[in-house]
Amino acid sequence: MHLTDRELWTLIHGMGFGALYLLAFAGGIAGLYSLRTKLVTVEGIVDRVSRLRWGSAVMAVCVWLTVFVGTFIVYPWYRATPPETIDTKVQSAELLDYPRYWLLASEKTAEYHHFGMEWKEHVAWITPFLATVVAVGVFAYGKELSTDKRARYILMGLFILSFALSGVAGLFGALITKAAPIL
Amino acid sequence: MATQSIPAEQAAEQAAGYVSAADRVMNAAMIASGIGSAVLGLMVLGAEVNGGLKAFLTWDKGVGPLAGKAGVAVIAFLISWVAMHFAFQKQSPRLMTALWITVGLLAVGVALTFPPIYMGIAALIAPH
Repeated sequence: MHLTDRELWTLIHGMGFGALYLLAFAGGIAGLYSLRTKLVTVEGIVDRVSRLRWGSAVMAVCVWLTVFVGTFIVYPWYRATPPETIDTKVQSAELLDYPRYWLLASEKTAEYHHFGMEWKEHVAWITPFLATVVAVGVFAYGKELSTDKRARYILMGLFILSFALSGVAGLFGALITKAAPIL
Repeated sequence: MATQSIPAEQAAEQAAGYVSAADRVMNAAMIASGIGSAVLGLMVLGAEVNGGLKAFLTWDKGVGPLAGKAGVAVIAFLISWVAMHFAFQKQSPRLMTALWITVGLLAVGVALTFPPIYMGIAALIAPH
């Protein structure tokens, strides 16, 4: 089994930072939801808030790294322009090295780019803004989150939205990689 | 009996419109995230409609206009966050007001990054 540099970076983007964020969401949302005085002791709140602070900060860093690696390292390989000697209207073996043009060469796969990549590449950039807000909120409120239901629910709502949007990006990333992998 | 209670002082403060220190910090970050998202959406639509803007946003040839779209959005997010963080220390909207502002801005950003919407609007504004 051999991975090229491009495949490795694509893995780091999608299965590394991206998957880590999506998986850690479950723990984060459970931590926020259960942070209530009737469910946890005073010592438990201190312990959980500390974990939430670290967790939300690491998650925010993860999602920023995901979008940066995706946009500035992986994406240029996806949208690279083939030389004029390669016919961009036929899905040939040579065109496989140019994923965007490979997808656009057939009506069966064109929507992976027109819809999938066009949505993914843009909407993904909203997720780090939201993840940052969640981390800021956890730090700002701290133990108050156990008593301030309104703030807790707002953080949970923004966290869920961030997860949903990053889920969209992850889903289409997986589908596009399956249809036209970066080799 | 209340299943979830907050201290009486906190309840009174919320009722009187008092904005806590934590709320002020949260408000600034929240609204900034909405601004960043809305600016991103506007850049996506703008690049689709205007070739000049699309060229301006091409900060890197390999990445294309996405570099500028994301870059402008991040800059807008950071500048508005810093500005509002300090401004809200003096006077801040209430948490729910800030939330609704954020929701509105996020709706703009999410909508304008959805291809059928921004491509549809672009086709209406500047048909090819």
